[in-house]
Amino acid sequence: MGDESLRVSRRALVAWGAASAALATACARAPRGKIAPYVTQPTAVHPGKATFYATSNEVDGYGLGLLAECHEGRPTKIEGNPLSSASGGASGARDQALVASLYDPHRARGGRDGGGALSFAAFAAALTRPTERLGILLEPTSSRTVSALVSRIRRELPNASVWFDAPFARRNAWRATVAACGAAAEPIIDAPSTKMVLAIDADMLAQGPSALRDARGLVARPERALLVAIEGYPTATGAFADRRRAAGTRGRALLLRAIAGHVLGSSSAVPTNLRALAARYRAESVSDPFAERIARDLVALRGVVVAGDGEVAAVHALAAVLNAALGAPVKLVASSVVDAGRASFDTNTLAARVRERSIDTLVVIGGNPVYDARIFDAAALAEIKHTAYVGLYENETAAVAKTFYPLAHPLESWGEAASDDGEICIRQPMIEPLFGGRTVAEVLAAIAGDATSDARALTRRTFETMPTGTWDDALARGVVRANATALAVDLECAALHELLDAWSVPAEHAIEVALHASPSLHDGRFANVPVLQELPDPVTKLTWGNHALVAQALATELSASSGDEVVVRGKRGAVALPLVIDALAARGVVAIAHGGGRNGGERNAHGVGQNAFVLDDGEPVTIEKTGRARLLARTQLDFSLADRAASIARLRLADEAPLPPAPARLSLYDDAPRLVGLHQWGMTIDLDACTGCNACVAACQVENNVPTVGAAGVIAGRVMHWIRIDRYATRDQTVMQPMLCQHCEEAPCEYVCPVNATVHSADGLNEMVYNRCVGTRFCSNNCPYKVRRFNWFEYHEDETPLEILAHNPEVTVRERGVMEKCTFCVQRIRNAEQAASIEGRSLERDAVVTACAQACATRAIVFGDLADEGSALAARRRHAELYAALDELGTRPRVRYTPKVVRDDGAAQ
Amino acid sequence: MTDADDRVAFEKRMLDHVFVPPKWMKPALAVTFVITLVLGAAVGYSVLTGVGVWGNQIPVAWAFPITNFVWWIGIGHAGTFISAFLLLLEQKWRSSINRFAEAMTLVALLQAGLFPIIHMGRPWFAYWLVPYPSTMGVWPQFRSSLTWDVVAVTTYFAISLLFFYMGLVPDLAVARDRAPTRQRRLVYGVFALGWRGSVRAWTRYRAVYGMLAGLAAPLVVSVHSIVSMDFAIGVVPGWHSMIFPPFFVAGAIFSGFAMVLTLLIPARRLYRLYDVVTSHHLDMMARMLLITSFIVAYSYFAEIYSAARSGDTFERHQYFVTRMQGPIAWAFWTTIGCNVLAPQTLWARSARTSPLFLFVLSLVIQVGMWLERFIIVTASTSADFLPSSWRSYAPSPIDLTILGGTLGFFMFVFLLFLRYVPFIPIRELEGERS
Repeated sequence: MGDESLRVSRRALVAWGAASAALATACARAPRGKIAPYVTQPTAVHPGKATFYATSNEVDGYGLGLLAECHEGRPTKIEGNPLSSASGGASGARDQALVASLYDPHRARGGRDGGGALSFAAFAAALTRPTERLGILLEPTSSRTVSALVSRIRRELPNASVWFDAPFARRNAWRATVAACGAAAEPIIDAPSTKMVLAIDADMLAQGPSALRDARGLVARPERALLVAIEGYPTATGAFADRRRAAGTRGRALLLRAIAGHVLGSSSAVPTNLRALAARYRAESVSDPFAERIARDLVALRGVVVAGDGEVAAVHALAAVLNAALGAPVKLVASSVVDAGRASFDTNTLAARVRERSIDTLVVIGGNPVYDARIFDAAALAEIKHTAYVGLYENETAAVAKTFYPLAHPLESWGEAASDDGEICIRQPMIEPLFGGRTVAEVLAAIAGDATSDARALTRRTFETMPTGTWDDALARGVVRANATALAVDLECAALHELLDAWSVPAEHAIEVALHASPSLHDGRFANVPVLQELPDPVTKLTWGNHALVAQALATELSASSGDEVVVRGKRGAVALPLVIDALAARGVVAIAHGGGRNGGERNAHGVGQNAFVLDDGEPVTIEKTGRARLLARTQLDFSLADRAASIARLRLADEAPLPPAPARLSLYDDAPRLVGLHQWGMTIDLDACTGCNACVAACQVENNVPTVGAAGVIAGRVMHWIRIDRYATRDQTVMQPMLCQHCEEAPCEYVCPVNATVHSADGLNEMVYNRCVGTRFCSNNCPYKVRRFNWFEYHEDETPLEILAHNPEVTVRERGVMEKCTFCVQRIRNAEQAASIEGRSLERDAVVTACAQACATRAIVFGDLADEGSALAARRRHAELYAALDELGTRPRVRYTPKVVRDDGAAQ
Repeated sequence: MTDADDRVAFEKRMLDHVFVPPKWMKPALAVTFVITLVLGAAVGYSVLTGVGVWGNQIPVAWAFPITNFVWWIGIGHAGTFISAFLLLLEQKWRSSINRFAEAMTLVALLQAGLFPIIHMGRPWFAYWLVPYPSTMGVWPQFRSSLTWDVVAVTTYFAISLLFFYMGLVPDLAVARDRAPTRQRRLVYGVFALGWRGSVRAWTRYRAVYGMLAGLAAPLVVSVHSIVSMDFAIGVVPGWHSMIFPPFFVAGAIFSGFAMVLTLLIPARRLYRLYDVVTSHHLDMMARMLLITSFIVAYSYFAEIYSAARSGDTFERHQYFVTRMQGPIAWAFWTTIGCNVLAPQTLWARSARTSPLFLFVLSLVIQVGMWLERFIIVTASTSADFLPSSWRSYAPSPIDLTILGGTLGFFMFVFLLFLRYVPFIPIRELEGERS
């Protein structure tokens, strides 16, 4: 007999053996990390709970009131400020990307002088030598603080001069209003009462300071306005419009003259000299039924004429005249942009002074004038004794600057700006400047000799000039109403007539170039944000880079097809871009978006597209094939609906009978799935309200930590967007169809998953259990809507610690090999439910809003509880033409659509 | 010469293939082993980096791996079909080729089994598809045909292996008895399970072999039926079809017989087996090809005809536009040429007995059957319901490497079989001869 204590039972042996094997093989250690609790809890920080602060962003001098969602002191998401007149609670795609640009790892990390580090004090000291001739170049701004500082600099430093510039500053519009009403003004449409809009080369529903307000006012109402577009390049607005004509500068001028001729000729309110002009226009223009019909409609509906920022001043003037003559519901208010319409926007004088070297020190704050290439090139700047640049990135301009200091990001800044209608939006910082950046006001104050005041103090001072309580009000509400001065068009004034008389019809070119702001990158300032680079163009669905967009006729002439590289050559330079053919492109026009070819510190944008600022908008160009072909990073390849319109994206004309609902189907099964949840979540999408602006796509991506995959990923067909906007051409019209997980009650994805990784919740959500997913991808194959997205690689692997800060902590970051898709923002649903449960109440009506619905300016997307008869969603569900996409498959989707209704019925007849 | 002498001579000749390997064996093993290593590298790279290294995308989320899976598993049908069905139907001609075909089946299943695992996003969790009693109480989702697949394929593999091994036991005993070295005697002896060849053992053996055949025969039908349901239970036009199970089984047997011919014809020449594998055998197999080709052709017709008469936009578009005119229309028309037209040559007796012609035809059929699966897998998803997500598919170099790699791996394991196992059923043929 052996020692009893050494006896090991068989069971114990197996247990120990298994445990040892498990220890030796299976257990990988989790990465170490330290979590330290607050010693003293800051009052405003609630761990695990989001807090919202009012702030704003400013582009080209126009502010937009926003809310920033913060988690533990870091902003993670942007929403529109519901109190802001310009945003009304909606937001644009570019606003959504503010967070990503804040945590951009390529932002400039500190000041420098040649090669060495430079403190702000040293940087500023070099700029404040009163004897030197100082030039300051700013981006357009409506900040009263900046305005006061500029005045002070002009007053106290006689050797200093200040200019403003941005490629898309509204110079032409201001010139026209200066002529027409004596001061730079902004047209503010009273959109809710507008019955018709004529947009002339204006992407007014998707771009510009009034896009959100106009989109909501014109579209989000029972009977939306008739929209007519005449445009040189395909825009979301044009694609959405009821009537559209694509035309080059000459074609647009002729059309507008014909329209003006008809309208002014028939109006009694028009002074005689204008009538003479109208007669001349009419005599010069060719008879065009399209123009005649528009003219009739304009008169009958008192339509508003909107001119795009790229149009010449005379077009803006004519638009103002037409609006005045028609008595259209649009008013002109004095522009809040500092120096709008003044000489300081004439950067030719700055260029001349640089050439003459009559400036010793040039300070460029914001913008990227070397990239813009319109004012001066790098060589000219290098000649100046001292060039200083304050910017977000060490970009092309920074490369020629002798000293550099980082600019504070909007989410790091104190400040204020005004929206185009004069409303003041405060800008509050969400976080300390990550890289010690300073705001424009701080730099200007330092130049003026006040190096001690910080941005908060400077902003506070601005509010001291306003009625008591304004500051507190601004902090609490984010926006302060201000009565902007209304201006009237003086139809008799000489300057106006001079402008219109001098306007001749542009010469006919074989091929002209239409340059335009990129809907996602604008002038290129957002080029380093992958979310925006990967945002498909609303019309062409192209991502990552710019393209030469032409109509089929021109491509046939060149015997080129989409993807062939072409060189577009103008007077000043040439760009080599892939050709893209689109049915909506104008004949004889090659359209190119700006924003490509950034080659400075914005490393995400390196090699993406080409800098189109070497061309001039509207100039005649030549195109030739290089013989090379490029792969197009396109998210949608087929725009035809073939014979499927009734199943997928419905469209009818306004005077046609309403589309019948789908016939009831016979089923062998018990028809209604038994869903026992208290709430039943659902969504409706109104195709008649979707402009395809992409705000929902960007909002979803930011809210749900959806990765970007780069141009190669898009080419490979692996874009990750949970919601996408499908563009279809049907009956000579365009339908934009937001497509996301339809949360089918009889979901085809669920029964094919071998591991129960996608299941249905009691409240009607099609849930994706990432932890359980093994990645067979059968669910994606079997999804008729193809909305499921697969993690082909570890997409979050290369994120820097800085980029990780941008993640929404309430949403899992998915690992490689798992499927993902729209969750109906389940985190928002559960948060609201938990809050209600803790407070012992039931969930408030319409308390849950998904990120896409929240961003949508036109309220095309409505989310809510189907079980609540009084909800906004339930009201939408009673729409007579409600239908389910691919209804015949019997998937019983929770997302329903209502058709697009084209108002092409000629209401004026 | 007596019967016994004849028997000894026959056994020696058959066993010499194993005991005195031909000269080409070593280089052939070396080449195929290197290809196997390349396969290992490509698979390793895919698993470590992510399946994104392949050409798969949305909407074509299954592409090469699943095409290869279906193709290989189809090839793996002929072996058991020949052994089990033909045994039950008392087709005598089967005995010369059945072991050969069974080995091919097992090796093909090995290739097939690789794909469902590596095609997963997270292959390290592949065991979640197996119904094991997990502490979390989570079971596989039994409504999914992928779960059925796991059961069907593993069962088929197990029964095929058992059937193959069972048939091998008497010949392993012969090998043991005639092995030139002690080491070989030992190894063959272990695997021969003490077989003495007594009458009682033979009686038992026949009973068990028959029973296994009875078990295996329905499995031949069930496996590919269930594989076909990986597609047929889906809503995708081009997949959602009632005729898939018989269509897939016929296609599987078609390609399986073609593979047997591909392997058998060179082996017959290299090992000089003209008396064992006679032109009668070739003729019979060619007839099987012709028959199954007809079933396949009928299925093609039925699919297209039902699409035409369905009144379903999506189905029609799938068959008449995507497949016949789309970017991979070449594959569709090649499939028709390979699987429907080319086998028609087998009406001629001279074609059915010409080894060279049959060898070439068998390759043509395999290409055709691979393309058929390629079309089913990729064309159907590349253009389904919403035109917005249509996108055609192209494989990546890794895809091609893995497909080529499995061909090498297949040949490597099959050569090992030829090298170490008596690949012609000695005892059974002796029984037939006497």
